[in-house]
Amino acid sequence: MNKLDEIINHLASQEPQLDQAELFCNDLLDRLPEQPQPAVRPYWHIALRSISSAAAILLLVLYLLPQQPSALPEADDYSAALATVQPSWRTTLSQSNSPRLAMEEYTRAKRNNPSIVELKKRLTR
Amino acid sequence: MESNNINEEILNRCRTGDKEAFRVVVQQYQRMLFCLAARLLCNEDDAKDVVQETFIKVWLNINHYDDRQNFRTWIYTIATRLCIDRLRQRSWEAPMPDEEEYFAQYVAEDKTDLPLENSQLLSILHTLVAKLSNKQRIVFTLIYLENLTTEEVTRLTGLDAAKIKSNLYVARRTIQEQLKRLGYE
Repeated sequence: MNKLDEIINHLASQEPQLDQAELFCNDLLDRLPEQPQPAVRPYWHIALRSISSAAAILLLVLYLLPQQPSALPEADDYSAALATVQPSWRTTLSQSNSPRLAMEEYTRAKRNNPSIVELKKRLTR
Repeated sequence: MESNNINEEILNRCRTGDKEAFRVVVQQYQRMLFCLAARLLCNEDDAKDVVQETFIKVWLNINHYDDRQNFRTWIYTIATRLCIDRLRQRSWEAPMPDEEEYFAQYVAEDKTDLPLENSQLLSILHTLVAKLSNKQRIVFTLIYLENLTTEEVTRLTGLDAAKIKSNLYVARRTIQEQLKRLGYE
């Protein structure tokens, strides 16, 4: 065994001793702080959180519910309405991605009279 | 010898803030923790500070202690990490000339079968590991003096097995050079 291992073995067998252990223990216990208590939430806080959670769930459900169809004419009514529209508009409406929305826009346009060209562009985008 | 675990009734009483129950815990583990801290820090006062800090931390966190974990391991881990933090924070003081002289004498007189007092033991340790880096010092102490396994040292320090091995190798080589200068191979 070389010198280093001899030294290591000897030092490992020697344990530093805690002098006056009892005094150390008493001193430590005197210094112990108060243990933190688990936070107790007031009842109103718990109630508020429950209400907020319920409201959030309700909103989510309402959002996810299937949308009611808008009050647009049914297919037959739509065709009848289309027949009353000026020919140029008829083409635009049938080319639009959403004929129903286009019809709505046309109705609104007739009321408000915006630039027909702009409207046509928007609908056929 | 400290038992590996703690009496359940004592633990539950500690959790309710019973200091007399905690006295039992302190009495059971204070010597073990002091031994560990003194070996790592090579200073009695620093070691006592760390032991106090450890027990205070245990007291404040005892409600977070997971009963499935070994209590001895838990408290030992807290103490080791506090020692490591302290080693990082402070600069390692070089041994005084009389410490080096005492070390040379210790090696020369071959008193490797005699008991040592705290001051003698810590002085020798302090000189022995003086030239090591913090990592080397920690690994050397935990493996050789605390007799831990590589896995245990990994868990405590985060160093993988390869790093532990390399730190140990460099530590041994450095100390051997020191002994060589004193005339020993």
